[in-house]
Amino acid sequence: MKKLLSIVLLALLLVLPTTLASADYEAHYVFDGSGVLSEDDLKEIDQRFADLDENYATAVTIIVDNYENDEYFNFNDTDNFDEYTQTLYDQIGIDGYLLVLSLEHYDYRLYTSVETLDEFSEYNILASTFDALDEENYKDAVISFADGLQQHFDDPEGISGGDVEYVEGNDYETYFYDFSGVVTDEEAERLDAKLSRIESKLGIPARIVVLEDFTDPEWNPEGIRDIIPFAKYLYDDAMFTGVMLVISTGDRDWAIHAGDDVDTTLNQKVVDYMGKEVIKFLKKDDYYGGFNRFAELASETLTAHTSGVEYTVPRNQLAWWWLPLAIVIGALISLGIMTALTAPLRTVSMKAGASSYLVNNSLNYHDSRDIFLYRNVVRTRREKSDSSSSSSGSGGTTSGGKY
Amino acid sequence: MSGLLDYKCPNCNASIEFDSQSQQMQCPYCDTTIDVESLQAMDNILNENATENLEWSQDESEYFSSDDTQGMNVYACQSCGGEVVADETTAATKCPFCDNNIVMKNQFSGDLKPDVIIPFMHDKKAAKEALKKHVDKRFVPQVFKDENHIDEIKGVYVPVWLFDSKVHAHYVFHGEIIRTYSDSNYDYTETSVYMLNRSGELAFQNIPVDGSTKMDDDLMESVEPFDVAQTKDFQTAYLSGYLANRYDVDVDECIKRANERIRYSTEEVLRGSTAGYSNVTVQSGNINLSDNSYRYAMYPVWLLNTSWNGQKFAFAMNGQSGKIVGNLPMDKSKAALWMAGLTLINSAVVYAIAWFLR
Repeated sequence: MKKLLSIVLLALLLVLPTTLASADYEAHYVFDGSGVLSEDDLKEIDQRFADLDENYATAVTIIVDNYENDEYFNFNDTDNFDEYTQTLYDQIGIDGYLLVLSLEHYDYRLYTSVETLDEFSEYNILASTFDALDEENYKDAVISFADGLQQHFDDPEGISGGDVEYVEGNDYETYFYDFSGVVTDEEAERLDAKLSRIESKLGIPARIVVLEDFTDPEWNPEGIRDIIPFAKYLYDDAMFTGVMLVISTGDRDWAIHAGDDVDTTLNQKVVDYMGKEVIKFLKKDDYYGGFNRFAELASETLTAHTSGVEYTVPRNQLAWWWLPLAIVIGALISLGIMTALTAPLRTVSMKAGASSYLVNNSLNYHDSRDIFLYRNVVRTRREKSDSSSSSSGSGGTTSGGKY
Repeated sequence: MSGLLDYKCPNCNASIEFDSQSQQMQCPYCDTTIDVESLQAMDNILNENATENLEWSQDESEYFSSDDTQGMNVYACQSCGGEVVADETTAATKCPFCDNNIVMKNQFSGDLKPDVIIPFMHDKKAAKEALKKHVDKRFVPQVFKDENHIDEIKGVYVPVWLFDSKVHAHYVFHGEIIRTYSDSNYDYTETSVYMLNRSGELAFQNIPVDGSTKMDDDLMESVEPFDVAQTKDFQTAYLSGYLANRYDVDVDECIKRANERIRYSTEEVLRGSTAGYSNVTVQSGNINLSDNSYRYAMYPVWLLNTSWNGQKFAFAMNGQSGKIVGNLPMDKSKAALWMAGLTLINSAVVYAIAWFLR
């Protein structure tokens, strides 16, 4: 197997010298069509995969920018990733495991003819790979694939004693609902994948719902006027669990609702913090950045929840201008104190009045009337608060406001 | 000179003076004490027929011209015969040759005679002690405290006009009560406007106004108040041992200042009855005075002068109550250090609060 694979890959390398591994090193187990791995990376990865091949079975990783435009491996010129992967597997003649990463799609396929991989096993094999991919650390992602496979072979029932809960069918759920079109399809796909992995990993979903106008009767038949009760209504009506971010782009409203299944960890303080972090991006109309941050925080907080540890809200750094501002305020306070302390030095002044010489009980009012003249009422429309408000109770925890 | 009073000890004939502790006349040489009234009676008898004419006829050219003597009086000390030159307002002084206490009797004759006087209740020693305490403050330069040598200390009877008046006042104030409330859609600011009509009468008694240009008005008002209940009928004997001036600011000029103080206090008193309003401003106001009267009085003040760093510092102590006033120099480097230290601490506290609330 090893020899056959080497011959095939060597042939491909000769034909495609510029598109395969970015370095001169001729790799045997990994093909980098996108140039994200260095020569040293390829050497290290190849060694790891060689060890794996020797003890277990062959594993190959192929990294491309976009499988649809890949003219070298897309033998059938297909836009179907599954077909692309299966054809590639068959054409190259792999009898082990093939992982294909399509970077522009943020998508992957793991294919093997050796066994039938259920989703649980697939997730266990690739869990660390996903984490590395989130950080765009492709070398670690590929090595993690090798590690995941080795653990799979050693313990086919699961990794880490099965403490990762698998929720069946999660791949078919949607986690990112964009009815406002504030992110591109590609961004939406990536966000959905990211949110999907949270539930795959932790068994608790995190969702993002983006509406143009939350008061639209289509979404809000009860005519709720405030985003916070609406978020709770939507959450309950859709029978969601976990944590949800709702954005109404028309009025720039936002809300985060954590259900009562997670509100022991995602308490008011934590949810408020998540809101603050997200609206930093939303204020700059960086919706993708905001949603991405929400997904990160949801992953962190829900991981803490499943681990049974308290999530500690990190404190923000003070802005740089707090230092000069503190000095100015401190100087003004000091000036007031110094004025009071030095006042006893100035004891000479003219007297304003003659109250010391008012004869006791000499004041006698002849007229003391308070006559009402008119009343004036100024009415100003209340601005919806820009700052967040919050509510918590038996139905979970919500934080929301304007951005 | 017939206009000069020199009170002599009935025992040793030395110059006798008023003692603020015993409130009697006391001879500094033989310690003989005699009350003011007895001494005054004795002095009156001794002065009867005491007028002498010792002047020699002189040529016209030997006299000072009227321009030369304008604002200047010349007296002969009755103790040593030395010539004492004083300005026209000096009413009591000391002989520069024999340190004899001299009271210029003529300055208090006729309508210039004060009605009342508050005798000194604190002596020179007390004034020095009070000044020592007064300068012992945190930001006064240590060198000033250590080298605080008093250049001059003098007990002065300051001429003041005391004004009594009944005031009929009518003020109209503009009052506002501001209330804010909100509903789900609007914030409301409700302003209720009232006309506050206040009229009534009140009385002021013994408002003092400095009648001497030689005494700074702000210094004189700063040592107030004086307890008028302790005033005595004026006797020139009280002046012995102290300096005194007759008034040189006319009562008509002082009325203006008295009116200012009356108007201010009247408005304050009436404004005090407008509690409960968010804003109160005067819309109109007028006062009418009746039963006006004034008196001429002499108030006791210790004046202490010191100089430091090329600057002169004047202090005044109420000779009745002991209250001392006078602006003090500030140790600028010490104040700057304090300011820097306080700024450091306050800034750190502000920053720490911001840090914990972030």
